Amino acid sequence: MSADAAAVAIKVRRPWFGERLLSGRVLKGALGLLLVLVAWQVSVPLVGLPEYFYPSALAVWRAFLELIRKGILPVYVADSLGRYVTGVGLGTLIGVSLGLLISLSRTTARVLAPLVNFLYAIVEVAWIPLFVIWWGYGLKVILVALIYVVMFPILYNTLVGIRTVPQVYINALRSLGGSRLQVIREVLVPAALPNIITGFRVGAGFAFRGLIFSEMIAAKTGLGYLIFEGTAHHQTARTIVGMICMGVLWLLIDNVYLKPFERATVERWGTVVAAEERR
Amino acid sequence: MRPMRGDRLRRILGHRAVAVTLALLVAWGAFSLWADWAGARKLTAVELASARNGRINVAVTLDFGPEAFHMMILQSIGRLIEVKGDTAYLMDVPVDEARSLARRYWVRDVAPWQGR
Repeated sequence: MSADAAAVAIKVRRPWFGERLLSGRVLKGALGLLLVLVAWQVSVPLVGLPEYFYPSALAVWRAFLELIRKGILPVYVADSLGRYVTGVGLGTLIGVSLGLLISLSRTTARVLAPLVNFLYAIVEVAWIPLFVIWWGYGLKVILVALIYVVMFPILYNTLVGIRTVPQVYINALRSLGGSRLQVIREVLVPAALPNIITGFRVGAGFAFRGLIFSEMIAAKTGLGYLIFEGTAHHQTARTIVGMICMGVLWLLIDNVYLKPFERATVERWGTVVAAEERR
Repeated sequence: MRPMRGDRLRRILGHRAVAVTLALLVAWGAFSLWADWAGARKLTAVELASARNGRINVAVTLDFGPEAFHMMILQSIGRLIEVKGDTAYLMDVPVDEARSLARRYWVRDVAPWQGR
């Protein structure tokens, strides 16, 4: 990095929520959302379609309150989140471990890389019917689907990350008497970490979609089931509640956990000195 | 310079992910305490004393007619005998399950029932 670029890469304090609210950014966002909701509500009598076909914003709000009052939504959200966290955790563990194991031998990496790339391209949606045949309906199918979805981006990125580590770093540690384990711990893992985190974020995003799809097929609770069940029983407002919850949950997970984690990792281990919010 | 312990703690707590997780845990803890308290009022220890062999027959009243979701829960904890309006009648419910059912906020009341 040049001296000028380094000078520019100073740490700028991110404004806190209250400051952003006062600066009008949040207010503008809320106003935009309100306009969409009003347009949606007004359009319902104009379109004149039955409620199960095109429910109003108020009907969706009522369905949301009803689902909470009846204790359905909290349980479904908790079940979906539990499956998501377990699946992503296991998928990450397996993906990183396999990536490290495969990349330890250059020949193994060369042989298996095309297979990994091939499996990465087969979306989990294609596997789920097969998983159902093998394990029936239930948690096992959902977890296997999530592990599959998360594992491949992480495994692939781990392989790429380790492949791009300059040999000179490995040689330097070896020449100082470093063991193979030390090379992994001190050079390979830190160098591949930004790639692993990128793979993790991609996998976590895919996993959310995989979760909803697998719950539609193989579960009796969860947001995916709510979406599916709502449509099956002509309770379209409930389906939309499920969709909105899904979007809000993903925004929260991404903004509260994944983005800060990725930023911190890239700043600590990556080539970026201070990755600032470009807003 | 190494930061003081208080500064370090403040920095960790200032982290958005930690702050949100802590807020969620506190909210969950508060809700659990409230659910315990409310559950004990719905199904008192005196009422639980009518249990035989650690099982009790109960009438579970909700604020609404039970849906498939509620029926699944009720069926998983005992023998569902019948549903009349907003009340479901269950036999042979383990005492612990009856207590945990009373903790649920969507259950209005759990009362001992003589059974059939």
